[in-house]
Formats: sequence, structure tokens, C-alpha cells
Amino acid sequence: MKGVLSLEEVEVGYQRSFTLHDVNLDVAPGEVLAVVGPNGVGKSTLIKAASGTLPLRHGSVKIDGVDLHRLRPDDRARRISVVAQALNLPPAFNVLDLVLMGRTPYLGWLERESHRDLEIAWEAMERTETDTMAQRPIGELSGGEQQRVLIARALAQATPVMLMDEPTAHLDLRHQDLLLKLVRKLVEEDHLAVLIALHDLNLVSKFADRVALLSAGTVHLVGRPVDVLTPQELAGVYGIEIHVMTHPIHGKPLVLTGE
Amino acid sequence: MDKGALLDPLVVRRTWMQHSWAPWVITVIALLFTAGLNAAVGPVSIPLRDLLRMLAARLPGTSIVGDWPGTFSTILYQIRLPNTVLIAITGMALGGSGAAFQGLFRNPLADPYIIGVASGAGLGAVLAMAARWPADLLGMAAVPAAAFVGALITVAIVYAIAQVGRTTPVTTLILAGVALSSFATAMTSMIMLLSTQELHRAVNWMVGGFALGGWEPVYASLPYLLIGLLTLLTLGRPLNVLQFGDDQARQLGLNVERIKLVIIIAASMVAATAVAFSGIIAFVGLIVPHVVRLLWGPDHRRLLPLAILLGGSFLLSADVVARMVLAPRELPVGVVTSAIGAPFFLWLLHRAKGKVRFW
Repeated sequence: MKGVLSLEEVEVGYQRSFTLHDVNLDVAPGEVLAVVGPNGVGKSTLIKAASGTLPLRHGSVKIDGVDLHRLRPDDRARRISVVAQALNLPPAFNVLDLVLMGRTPYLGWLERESHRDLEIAWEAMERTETDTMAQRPIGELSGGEQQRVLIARALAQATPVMLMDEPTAHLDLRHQDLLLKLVRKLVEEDHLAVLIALHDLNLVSKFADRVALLSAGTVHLVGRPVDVLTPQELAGVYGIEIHVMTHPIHGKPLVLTGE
Repeated sequence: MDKGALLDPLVVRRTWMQHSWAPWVITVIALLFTAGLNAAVGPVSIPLRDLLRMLAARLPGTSIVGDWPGTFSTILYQIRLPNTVLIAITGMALGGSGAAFQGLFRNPLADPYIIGVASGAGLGAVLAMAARWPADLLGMAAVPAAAFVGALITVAIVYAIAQVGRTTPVTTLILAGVALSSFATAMTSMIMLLSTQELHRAVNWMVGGFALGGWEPVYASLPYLLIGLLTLLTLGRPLNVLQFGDDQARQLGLNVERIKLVIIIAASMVAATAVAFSGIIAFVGLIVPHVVRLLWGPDHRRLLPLAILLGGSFLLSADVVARMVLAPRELPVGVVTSAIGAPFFLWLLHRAKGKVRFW
């Protein structure tokens, strides 16, 4: 599996309320594509739709040309994993048990995890630096630690494509940075295709290869951060005066609000 | 660095945690002990020594001379033992289905009684009884089948009503359960009042008295219980994954709808069988899984079997209490479980108010 994720003409809606429509996106292996946009524009819905677990009204989500909505759940979960927001996790499960659940799509009804599964889970924990907390209950961990554990679980799923829904929400500056550095590292090492919903435009600018700017239920613009994170585009979508400067250290766009 | 060396202590520790013998030894010994106690206690008290020797004499290859009174034998095999076994399997059924329902609803307050499944099963059973009071094994088989149908209908309605969006909040779950439960109980009472004969027995049955007697109820319920409980025992891993919510479970490759359907069918079947032969016994399915979780953690692969074992010994002890408190009069066992269970339930509710998550 190479792992090219493509959303074609995707349309989603809950009854008559909010809808995403005409969403066309491609994510290549080794690439991080960030989804940005104002609150309620449908970033989380887009991630869910891309995961193949949300019924589409129209269009398709494919990995290497295979339609995710036509796959059995376990087959689909061997191709695409989702890092959820670390909210309301059942607190008494320990870290190792949680990460091992990433092996679910590889196990039959009555099958137990093998030594191999344990090795895979352990490696995922080492790479996310969660191995030292293997036996600790999730409820005792900080938000950043919980988020890393969820990334470890997705890694244990061993999929070519990974989706992330605002993994930096509720994290402080340092942990936001560390988490996204980790994501970058994993993308480079495993050649993962990552579609990530993010709130903070400056994090997007620093860590994403490309950005999809959502507005009014569809993709307004896709491109390199330099091309998408411009005052004109952002002001139009967010409805606020915006200035973009060049970051003095890494030279990428730095987004500031005006007034 | 040698990864194997790093990994091995972890594997050892993990397998030890999972196969730790302590919970199993404790629950099995508790079950055997309470079963022995349950069979020994009664109007004619059989000394434990004689009880053990009588049982041992039944084993092949032993040569124990029967020097105990002949009535002991009759009392033990015709009255006490079938009753003890029925109570044990009823308790096991309630403990197992309670653990499964709590896992399914991701809610520690769910149990067959509170979500109305027991009352629904009771209505089904009474309908079957009104049509034909169980006289033989075949007639008896109709009762659990009808109870099963009643339970399934109830759980389907509760599930449909209590679900808000994609979750099942405590309040809607309990409210839906209470409403349906009252309705089913009212219908049950009406049917009972209309069919006047056997009313005393029926009332006794309603509050959880083991009034039928003999081995037939045991034989009639065993197939349902075995199928249901064995099915539940295979669902430990998916139930663990379900604790993370439907969305994450789907993303992890679980066929959520199918798994939930299997859990509902197996747990309802087990609960319905318990109700059909032992009446409505409240709170066992609430207390037992909770105690197991507190003692031995949230992993359903251990929680389910341990709750089944502990459910048996819990109901056996409750039954001993029920028969001893007002001796020589016997209380229905449901009175005892409610007396213990209701305060426990209120305590849980009080804790839930403080938004404490239970597992």
C-alpha cells in the first residue's frame, strides 16, 4: 500500500443542518495536509468523513483507489487510523492496554493479542515516548501525554494514512510544539499521509506541507502555507483584519490579527 | 539495544496481571463455599461434614458408608441441591448480564432491573404462564422463550429512547427504564390478578422467590444460560474497545452495530432466563460488576467471567440471609438484594453527581 488519500466530490450532512459539499482533496505519502477554518465550518466533520465511518451523501473517499465506504470495518481500519481528541477517555485502562487496542483490526473474534502485537504496540509507545507509562491508568496522565498515547494507538494500527482531529487543543505552547514535531518525525520516518485539523494558523504555517482553508461548507483554497495564509484570503474567511509577516526565525508566514 | 530483553519483563508482568490467579481463586472458592452453606442451611440443618460426605459418596470410586439419616439424602437431592443450583446460576446470569449491559451502555448504573429488561422479561414470562402454567419441561421451555422476547422488546425501546445523538446519558437511560419498567410491571400485575389461581405462587415469584422447586427449572434454563453466558465471555475485547465510544470503536475497525446487537441478544437472553425461573431480583447485576471493577479493574476480559462467578456467590449468600432472618419463615431473596442494592445504587448516583467517572 502506498497510501494516497483522496476525497472526491465529498458531501456530508446531518439531516437538514450543516453540510460539507464539493470537497476535493488529495494527501500524498509523506505529506501533512492541514485543514483550517473558523469554528463550526466543519473541520471535525471533514476528518470524520475522511475516516470512512461517516455516511456520505455524495462522493467518495479512497486510498490508492479503494473506496473506504465499501470496505469491511476491520479492512478499512488497516488502511486508515484516526487520532481522536483526548477527551473522556475511560480512565482506568492502562496505557499499554489502550495502545494494544490499535491492533483490533488485525485480530479475529476469539483471537488474543500475540507477542508480535505486543512488540508493535511497544514500538509505537517507544516512538511516542509513552513506554515509560505503560502500566499507568490513562486517567492519571496529562492532556499532552494522553494525546501521545492516542497517537501511539494509531501507530499500532500500522496504517499508511493517519487522520488527526485537533490534537493540540487544550495543550500549552511547549506541548503543542512537541506534539507536532513528533507528528512530523513520524511522517518522515514512516512516509505517512496525514490529514490534520488544526486551529492555530501559526502551527499550521510551521508544520504543514499544505493547507486546506475551509469556508462556507467547502474548500475555499488549497496550497502551500505561503500561498494560502495571506491577509486577503484569511480576512475573507475569518471576517477580521489580518496581517501576515515573515517569521524572524524560520521564515514562514506569521499570522497576526489587526487592531 | 536488544529489544527482546527490554520487552520480556513487560510481557511477563502483563501476562501475570492478566492471568493473575488471585481473583479466580477467590471467586471460585467463594462460589463453592456459599453453595455449600446454602445447601446446608434450612429448617433441617445438615452438618457440613455429612453434606460433604454425601456429595463425595456420589463420586465414582469412593467407598463412604452412608451412616447419615435417610431423610438427609432426600432433603439434599430433591429439595436443597436443585434450589441451590438454581440460585447459583441465576446469580451468575444476573452478574454476567449486568456487566455486559454496563459495558454496552458505558454506564455503571445500567443493570437488567434498572433499564427495565427484567420487568419486560417478567411480563413475557407471565404471559406465557397465563397461557399455560408450567407443568412439564416443555411447558417450562416456553416461559424463558417468552421472557426473552419480552426482554428484547424492552431493551430495544429503551435503547431507542435513551440514545441522544450517539451516546446514552445516565438520565435518559434511567428514565426510559423506569417508565417501561412501571408499564411492564403494571401489565404483569393485571394479568396475575385476572388469573386467580396460583396467585400466591406468582406473587412470590414476582419478588424473587425460588418457589418452583425440583430439578426441572435447572434443566430448562441451562441451555439458554450456557449459550448466553458463553457468548458474553467471547465479547470481552470488543467491549473494552466500545468503552472509547462508538466513533473510536469504528475507527479501530470494530463492526459496532453488529457487536452491540450480539451483546444485547446474549445479555437479554441470560437476564430473561434468570427472570423466568427466579422472578425479578433487583440490583445483583448492578452491585456485582461494580465490585469486580473496583477490585480487579475495567478489563472486560476478566470483568465478565469474574462478575459471573461473583454473581453466583452473592445471590447464594443473599438467599441464606433471606431464609435465616425471620426463620422459620422465609423471605423472598429479592427483598434481601433490594435492601442491599438500593442504598448502593443511591450511593453510586450520588457519586455520579460529582461527575466522577467509574471506569
